[in-house]
Amino acid sequence: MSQLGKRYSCKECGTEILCTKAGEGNPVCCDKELELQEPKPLPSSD
Amino acid sequence: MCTGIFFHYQQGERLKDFPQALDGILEKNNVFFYDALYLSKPKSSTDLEPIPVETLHKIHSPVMVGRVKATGNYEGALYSAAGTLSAAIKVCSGELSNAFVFTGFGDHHAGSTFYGGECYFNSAAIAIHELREKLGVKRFAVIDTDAHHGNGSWELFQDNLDVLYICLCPEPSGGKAQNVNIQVPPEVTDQGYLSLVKEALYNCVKGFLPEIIFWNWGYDGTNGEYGDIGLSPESHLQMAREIRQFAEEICNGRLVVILCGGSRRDLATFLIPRILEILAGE
Repeated sequence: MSQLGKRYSCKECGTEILCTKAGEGNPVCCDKELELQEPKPLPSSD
Repeated sequence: MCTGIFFHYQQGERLKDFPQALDGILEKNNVFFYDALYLSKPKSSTDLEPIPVETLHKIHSPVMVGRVKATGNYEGALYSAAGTLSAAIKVCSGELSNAFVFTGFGDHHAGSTFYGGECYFNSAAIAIHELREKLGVKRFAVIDTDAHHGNGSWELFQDNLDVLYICLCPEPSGGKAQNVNIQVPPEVTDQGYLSLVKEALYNCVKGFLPEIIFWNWGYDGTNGEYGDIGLSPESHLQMAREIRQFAEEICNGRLVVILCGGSRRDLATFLIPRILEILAGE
């Protein structure tokens, strides 16, 4: 399932996409499922 | 009308529901999402760039920046400020109409040599400096509706005649040069507070003719928050409508909203998406 606000990228062609509406499926490019990019969380005030 | 959202993933509690709470907003054609920090993917134009230390030193002393580094919160503070700087440049260069910055630390208690209240860098001051230098912007307004006095902004802007800084807080009222403090009663009604905001906008800011408005928005004055002055959640939405409309009238809509105080996750999740809807056009 895709995740809202997450970025995905294609290792084959370098395409990067932003999920603006989550759905049941996984995004595909160059016949392969895109890789979910994991952000690094930073410290914050609470 | 294009709205930018400047976001970085944070370890804290209050923004835990984001970015998922942006459902219905990110899909708008006029909304652009800039974020950080990814170690695994190639750089792209939507990544936030950290602010070079030389730029920090134009506002904050090297000793203070060193002290911030020692807290362990440096990277979070840096990316918070980077969001405001990037938002301001994109708004003033016409790439965006307005912007909302999710800060992890920020920013009105940070002065030239001191910080407090977990505000490490004054991102509005950094952005104003860079807008002057890089884009030749000449007049700025900063409206601070966090419940607490912005002592850092007060100090940084007190000698800047091109910056009108207006702080609405329960501190005794007063002013110096282009710094205006509007005293808010310890307990205030929504209507009373909004009247003060409108008074500030139309009696002070309008005649100053700023080219861009920064809004230091804190929700810590909401009922049940740590700076409770009696405001309802809805008052923030009314304020957002007023300030956005005012920016449309005065400076072609150029407005950067900087998230300041407030700790409740439920309020952040309720208020921020609605404010973004207002910025992007309801």
